[in-house]
Amino acid sequence: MNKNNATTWGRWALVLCALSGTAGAGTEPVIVSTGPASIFDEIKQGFYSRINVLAFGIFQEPEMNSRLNPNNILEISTYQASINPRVDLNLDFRRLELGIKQRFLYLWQRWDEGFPEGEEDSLAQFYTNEWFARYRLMDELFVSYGRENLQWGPSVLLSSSNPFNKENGRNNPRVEVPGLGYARAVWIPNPAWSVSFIANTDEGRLGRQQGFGLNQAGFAGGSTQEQDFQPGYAFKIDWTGEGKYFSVIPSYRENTGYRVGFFGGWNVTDALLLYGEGAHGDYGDFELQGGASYTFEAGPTVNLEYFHNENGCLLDRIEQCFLRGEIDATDPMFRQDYMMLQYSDTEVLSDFNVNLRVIHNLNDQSDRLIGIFEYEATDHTLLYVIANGFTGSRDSEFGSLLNYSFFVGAAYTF
Amino acid sequence: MRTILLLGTLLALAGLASASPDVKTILKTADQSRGNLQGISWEVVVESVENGRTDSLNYDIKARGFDISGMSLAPPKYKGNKLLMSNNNMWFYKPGLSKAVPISQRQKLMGNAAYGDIASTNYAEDYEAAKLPDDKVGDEECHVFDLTSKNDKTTYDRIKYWISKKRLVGVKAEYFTVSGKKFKMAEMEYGNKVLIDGKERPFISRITLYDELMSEDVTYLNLTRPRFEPLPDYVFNLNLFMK
Repeated sequence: MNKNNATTWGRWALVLCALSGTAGAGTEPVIVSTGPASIFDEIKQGFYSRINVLAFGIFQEPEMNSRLNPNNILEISTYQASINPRVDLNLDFRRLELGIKQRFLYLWQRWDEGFPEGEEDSLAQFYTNEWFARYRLMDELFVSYGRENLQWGPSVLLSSSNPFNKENGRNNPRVEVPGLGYARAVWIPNPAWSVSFIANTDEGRLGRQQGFGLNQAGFAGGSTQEQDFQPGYAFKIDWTGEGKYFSVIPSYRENTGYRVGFFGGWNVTDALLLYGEGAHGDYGDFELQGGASYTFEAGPTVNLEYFHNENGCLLDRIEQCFLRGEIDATDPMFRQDYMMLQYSDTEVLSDFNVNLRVIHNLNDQSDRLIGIFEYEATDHTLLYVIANGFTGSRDSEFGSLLNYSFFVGAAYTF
Repeated sequence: MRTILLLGTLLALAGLASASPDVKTILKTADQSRGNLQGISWEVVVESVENGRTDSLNYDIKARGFDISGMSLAPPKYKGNKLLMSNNNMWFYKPGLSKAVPISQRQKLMGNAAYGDIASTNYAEDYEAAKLPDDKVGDEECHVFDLTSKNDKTTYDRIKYWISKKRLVGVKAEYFTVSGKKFKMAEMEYGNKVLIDGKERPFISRITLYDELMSEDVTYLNLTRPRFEPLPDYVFNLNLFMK
């Protein structure tokens, strides 16, 4: 224990006081806190920062002969190199909490095949991916406003219950999901129940990311910019029981109408989890996910998940789905039925983490294979390779854009 | 004469009771030195020695009964990793993951340490206790109990628990699977001090965990800067979990 710690503990010990209370709490140790010595101490205690610098390169081979990307008409670059410092700052001060995730991105790209062959491009930008201000009106009621990546649900493939952004970013943990503008009120009446009111006030960073493969909003961009942005509103009602949880999310947005999302999970044993997620809404919107995960005694976890989207496109040729307007640009995936199998182990050979994922499109029989390999080189440095392989015909979803890609980089955390 | 005999018997029983507290009182007193059901915040440094190599992890922990909310402070590569255990549902988040993911209770914190090892103990209420013959741990005379879990919330199904007769703190534990197989052993140290009902009590400062093979592998949980404070429900709410 260092001197500061000892001083702090001494201060706590000095104000120790046993209070009489309920029978249950009467024999519990109780400390009455006088709080930190000064405002400066209080701010110091509530301040959190994390500075993370990512450097990575991407090598990817675009599929040139597909109907969706003939001669690389979508301008998918062959090489990308990037430096991406990320600064997270957070201050928890009394009833107020402030947070910001400030970013800088330098991106260089080169096109080696198809259109626009031989060209290079680069960009540099500062941006705020997330920020928020949250105020605790009382222990049971919080209000907040800001740009947040608001995610929930147990599923791996995507979050079908989320009416604001279904993409959950789990196919590439080094690329951030864009923050959207939200106003929120969260009411927590007891440990079992909570109710949130959420207003999606603006599009935030959605659709503004640069570089193919650096976009975590589905391969159509996930943007609603083609249409005028419409605010969306949702209630989120959460119940947490003994080893179980369930949530219902009724929502409304003018251009998509009413929708009810839901998710739930059940810890069947200490190793087996079952979960489900989905939504039902206007215009035939019906999505359902079901999955299970099992953790072996030795450490690895296996996930199996199924996803059905009633509005998914069943046309043989994937480009027809786009041309006939049968896809929703906010969907991370466009067909009706998918299966996913995942294997993850965070303690392979001590410092080596691996995550292997296969996503099989049951409608056009195409596949996406993902391997996420991480090596914890030092206490500060993480080296990683994210490899993607795609199979399927030139008409299929996963066979249309890339044959393979390698995302190789290092992350240094200060 | 009958009245005198009856009084004598009662007095003898009362004397016995005061000389030797009942099992539940012993367990409850020992529990008071292992956490606080209303809420405790502390810094937990986990050190794992496996195959001669040492790794460490610092967590800022808030615990209320079985509920835990924790954030990793060091080493830098793990900084910002977060853990939430709420009503036996566990969620894990790390920066870059975009969202918290559900994890099973079988997932380990580090080395031999389970997430439940950093929660407060409530053995008096959550376990059925059977008294075993007294034993010694080092030079210390101990009560020994065979504890069997009464509910699904507990981290361990069965525990053999040594409680110091003098200090009334748990000093050693052996953990067993449902099938009766011993898989872990722990020794506890009480370097912290707190006041409970105006009396100074030793408080848990270090748990040393050994695996069932009695190999060289060992995990230390160093528990420092304990602060008792009632923790409201929002501390353990998933909607406010992400920063």
